[in-house]
Amino acid sequence: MARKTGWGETLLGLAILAALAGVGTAVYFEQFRPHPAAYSADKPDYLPPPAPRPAAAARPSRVNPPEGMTALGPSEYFDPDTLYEKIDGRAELYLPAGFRSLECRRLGIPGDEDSVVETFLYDMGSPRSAYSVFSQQQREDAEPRDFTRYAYLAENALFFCHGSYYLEIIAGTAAASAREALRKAAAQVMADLPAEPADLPELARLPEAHRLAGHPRLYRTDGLGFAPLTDLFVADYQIGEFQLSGFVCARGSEAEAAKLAQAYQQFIMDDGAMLLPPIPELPDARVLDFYGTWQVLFTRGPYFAGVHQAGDRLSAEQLALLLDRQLSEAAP
Amino acid sequence: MSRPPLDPERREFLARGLKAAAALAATGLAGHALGWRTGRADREEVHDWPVPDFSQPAADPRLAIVTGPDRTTNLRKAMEALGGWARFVKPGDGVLLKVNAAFASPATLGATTHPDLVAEAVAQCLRAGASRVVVTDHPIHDQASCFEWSGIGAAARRAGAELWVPREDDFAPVTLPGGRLLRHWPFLKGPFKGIRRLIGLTPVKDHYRSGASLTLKNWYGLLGGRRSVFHQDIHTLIAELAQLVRPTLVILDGTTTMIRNGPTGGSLADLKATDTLVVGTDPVAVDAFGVTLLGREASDLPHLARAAAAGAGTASYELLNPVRIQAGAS
Amino acid sequence: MKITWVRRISQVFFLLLFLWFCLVTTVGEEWWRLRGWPVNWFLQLNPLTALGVVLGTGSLPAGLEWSLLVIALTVILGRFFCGWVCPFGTLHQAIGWLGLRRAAPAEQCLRRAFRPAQRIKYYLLAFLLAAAAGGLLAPAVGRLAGQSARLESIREFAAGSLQTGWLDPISFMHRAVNLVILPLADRGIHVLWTGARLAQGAALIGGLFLAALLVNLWIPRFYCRYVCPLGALYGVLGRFALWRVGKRQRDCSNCLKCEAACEGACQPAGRIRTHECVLCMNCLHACPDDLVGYRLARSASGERAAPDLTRRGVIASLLAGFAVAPLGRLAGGRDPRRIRPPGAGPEREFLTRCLRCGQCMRICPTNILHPALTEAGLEGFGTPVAKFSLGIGGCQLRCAACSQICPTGAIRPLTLNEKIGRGAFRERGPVRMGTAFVDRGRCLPWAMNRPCIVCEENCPVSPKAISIQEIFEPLPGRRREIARGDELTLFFEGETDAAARVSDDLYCRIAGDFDAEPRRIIECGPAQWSIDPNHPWESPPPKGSVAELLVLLQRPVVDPERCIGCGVCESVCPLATVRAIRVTADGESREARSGFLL
Repeated sequence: MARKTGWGETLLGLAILAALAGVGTAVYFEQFRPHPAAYSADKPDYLPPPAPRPAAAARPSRVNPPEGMTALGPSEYFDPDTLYEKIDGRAELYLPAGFRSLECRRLGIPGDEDSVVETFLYDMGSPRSAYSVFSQQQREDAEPRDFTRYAYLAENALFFCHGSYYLEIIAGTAAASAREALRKAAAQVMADLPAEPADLPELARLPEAHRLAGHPRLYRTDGLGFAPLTDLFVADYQIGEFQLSGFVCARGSEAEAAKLAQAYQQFIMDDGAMLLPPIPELPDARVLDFYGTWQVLFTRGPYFAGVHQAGDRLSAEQLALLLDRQLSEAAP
Repeated sequence: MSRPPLDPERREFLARGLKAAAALAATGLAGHALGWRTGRADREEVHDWPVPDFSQPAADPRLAIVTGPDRTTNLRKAMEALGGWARFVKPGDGVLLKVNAAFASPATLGATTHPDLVAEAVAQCLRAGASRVVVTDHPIHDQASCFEWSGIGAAARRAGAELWVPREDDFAPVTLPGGRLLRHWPFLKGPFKGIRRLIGLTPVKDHYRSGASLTLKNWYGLLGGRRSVFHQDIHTLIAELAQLVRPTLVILDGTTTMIRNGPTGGSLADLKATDTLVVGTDPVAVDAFGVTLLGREASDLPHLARAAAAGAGTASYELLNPVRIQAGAS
Repeated sequence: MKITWVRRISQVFFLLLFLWFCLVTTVGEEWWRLRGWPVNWFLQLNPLTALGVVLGTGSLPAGLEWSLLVIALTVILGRFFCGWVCPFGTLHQAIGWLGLRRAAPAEQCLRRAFRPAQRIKYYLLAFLLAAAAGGLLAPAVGRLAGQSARLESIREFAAGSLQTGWLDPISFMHRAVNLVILPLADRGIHVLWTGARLAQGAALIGGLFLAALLVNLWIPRFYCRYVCPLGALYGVLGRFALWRVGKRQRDCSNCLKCEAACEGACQPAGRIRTHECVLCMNCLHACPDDLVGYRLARSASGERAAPDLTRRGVIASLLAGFAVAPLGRLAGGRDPRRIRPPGAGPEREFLTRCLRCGQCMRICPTNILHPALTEAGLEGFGTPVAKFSLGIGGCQLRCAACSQICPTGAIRPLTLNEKIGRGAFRERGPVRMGTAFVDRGRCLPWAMNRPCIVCEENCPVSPKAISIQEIFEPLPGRRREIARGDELTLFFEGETDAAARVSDDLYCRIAGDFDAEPRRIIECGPAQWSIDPNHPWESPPPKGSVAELLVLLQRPVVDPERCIGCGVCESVCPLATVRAIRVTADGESREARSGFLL
């Protein structure tokens, strides 16, 4: 065409595009203001008549009183939409991990008020998700328990994974009868609900030496605040006077692990981490300084592993070497 | 002196411009006349309930921090330090105590306001001459068992208060002028009938979503409707609640603190004895202090700064010269 | 950056925004549900809607202030909406472009040429606005004639009828996307709805939409040029536009490349018809000599600011418009099926506001709102009516979503308290859409002595508006002579098919005076009946007496004081073709005279 696009036209065009962006932004912000129609209607909980929802009463209870105890009422059920009704803001921990349903029921030994326990049976959909919510909320001074692989006992409560279920059994007091009730209630649920223990091979990849008590934490999503870091295991260590964390994350292949490591390194460098000289014994590992804490990142086969938030370089190197040894032993 | 004749193009443009301006003016006038001032001229107004302002004229002391292992003694000492109940409750007043009864969990687990504290506050209000004391909260799920299991229901009744368990028609829409989230939102209006004083009564708790559950978060329990939508923007909501609800007094119980796994907790191991109780007329200041019991800073709770910026109080509680008292065991 | 590319970006942006709004209009809090998306925005930007409602009611519904902004911009810039914003126009332009993209320049020129028939849209505009304005005449007439008792009936008779929605492109497109395209697209994938979404009259709505699109293959932007009353309104509003497309000098090579690219058929090469110009800006870049610009000055080759309408034509259109509503109402009558959504105003007022945009039908969670075919008469064609036998449940008690979403207040926004009649509205009572009537000729327990209480069970009103009359009815042909009997069991000679499987609520009674109270049968075998052991016969029934098989029926009866006409009962009634309990508009609370009780 003969006509050349003048600067005035370009400027006008840019102004119009800016106006469009403004409209888009305004619409985006507007959608945070709930529309009156959104709350003047109850949740559409109907379904077409041919497929009516099973009545609540018809649901079989999975939490039953053991011998010598009675149920203080029927079970209550919550789904992802109603979970907040029972546990309010804590629902945000369970929902991203794959929460499916919660069943709650109170049990007690007749005539003994101390023995009343409430059982929370969270169906998390998979053993991994169950372990994830279990491991993310451990009580610091809890005693580990051996009656099942992933369990611990607090003064008044028992927390454990059972297959794809995560259970909290909570008593109001720390009395002896309460603890007895906890144990019996747990045994009953485990007897009623057969389940395979979780298969978490990554746990064995985290070295035992210097590890602090407690179960390593599993993040199903957003591990270390980085969205692509899924199924990440993190354990806490104490080396010398410093506390630090080691992590392991399995991927399908060596290439995927390498790609993830690269992406994560970029992510923390974008946030201001600085690359430091490597560890002599571990030349392929990246050592970074992140505002005064040391990070080490490396891959072994399909594993992406590293050290997070070490207080000094020495402990970071020591843990990195331990991790490396553990992973190299596991690798073929 | 003669003016040069206007060139015809120019004259045409001026004429056209005038007509366009006239058209614009006509549009504006028509819009004005048709009621864009209210914007709802043709619709029946949604009658929002104006939440009364219960706050009292600022007078020192505004904040009392009492340390001691017994919460009822702490409360007594704190009220003495603030000048006694007579300053806040006049004879014949109706008093509303908004407690935290959000969960059907035993008092020992610290997820709800402690019944001893409820009983003590009720008794002290009645002693100060209150004509009636109403205790309320709006747990979403199974309200009756929340009041029963937390022990609050029994404590309130025993101390002579009315327990108000919300029903559907207790809610009326409210709007925070200038608010973004609180617009025509259902609010627990029922128990406010005949009430002259509003007191918040809440434990210190960790909160997975909002960082901490303190006196401002406690007002969340006055909302109805499908309030869980607000979890998406909880800090804005709490800041707006701080502007909407202006209490006479707030009582923050940090005798034991739920330091992690809040707001439900569940384990005694989630609790820590922090032996502190705060009472104040400025909920923002009370919360700014309260969050330190969790080992956090006021800056960890964005809603405090927002509430302070909106004029709901001050987050710099030290500026209020808090009265600090050591109370022994009773 | 070429301005035409900016225009294309703008068009795609607004088209996607429009479709997004249609997609998210489902009650819910997820980001892809309603939340706070301003889904009515395009409807609110519409000056034709605003003008139509203002003419009919004298007030501007909330949200329609947006149209004032569009009016202001149009007064200054011209028909920018048509060329840059209108999602329907974007579709027309895209399809027109597809149809002509390989055509020779001469062919392009011919197809895109101005045709005098483009004035039709202005006559349509006059007609539609006159129809909407009808109500304004009555008070004027009344003032002239002095106040009289007849004024009300004149007003009622002549009240305006808002028909702009039929042709207004935004309503047109909302209707088509909401009622045809989304339900069609959702079949099989069930993302928006759990089951098949229905829309009465979808074939007509979809057919019109398709026709409006396909005709672009013949003449690009056919709809915009000949039909669109909104475009016509913009043409009138933009008459004094400060900026306008035009030539810088009178003479040019007359290559007509500008006209071969023109979207509005406004003849930029000659005396440009500014009221037809949709500001597509194609001519700016088409001109090989760079003679066309968007400028403050008039085109050097002259312009025609106003469409060439004849006075006679305009007057005829206006008169036809004024006449249409009263003519339609001569027929009178009230269709029992004309059940309006909760919150709808009295019928006359409703018809001065309803756009037929289908937003209420789109958001209705139970799919009961449908465009009327014959239910609301010719005048109400396409307006929402509740069809309880089509949806997946009646009008949900705790839902007033349709009333909140209506862009023009045809359905007034209701709070749940107002809808249910509690709180401040206790005195006034609930909003009633109609009343349910049991068809005793079809209802199973009434007509056929078969047990069924589905409607009573599902009635959501508290206390229930459907009550139950319990009655024992003998089952025909089920009288049997007793061979032997004890306190709990009756034995018979021979076997019959007496094990009637009609019910679990079978009873028996011994004919005559013997212990007349019926006993529940717990086992009804071919040769023996066992009765409830808690109520044995006082003495064993004598041999040779006759036992009667009874069924306990629970027959539904509607309490018109309580029934709110929500239609839940109708939707769950097992008789699929013609339900045995049906809601009619009788007793609807929006019409003062619809009550039938004292």
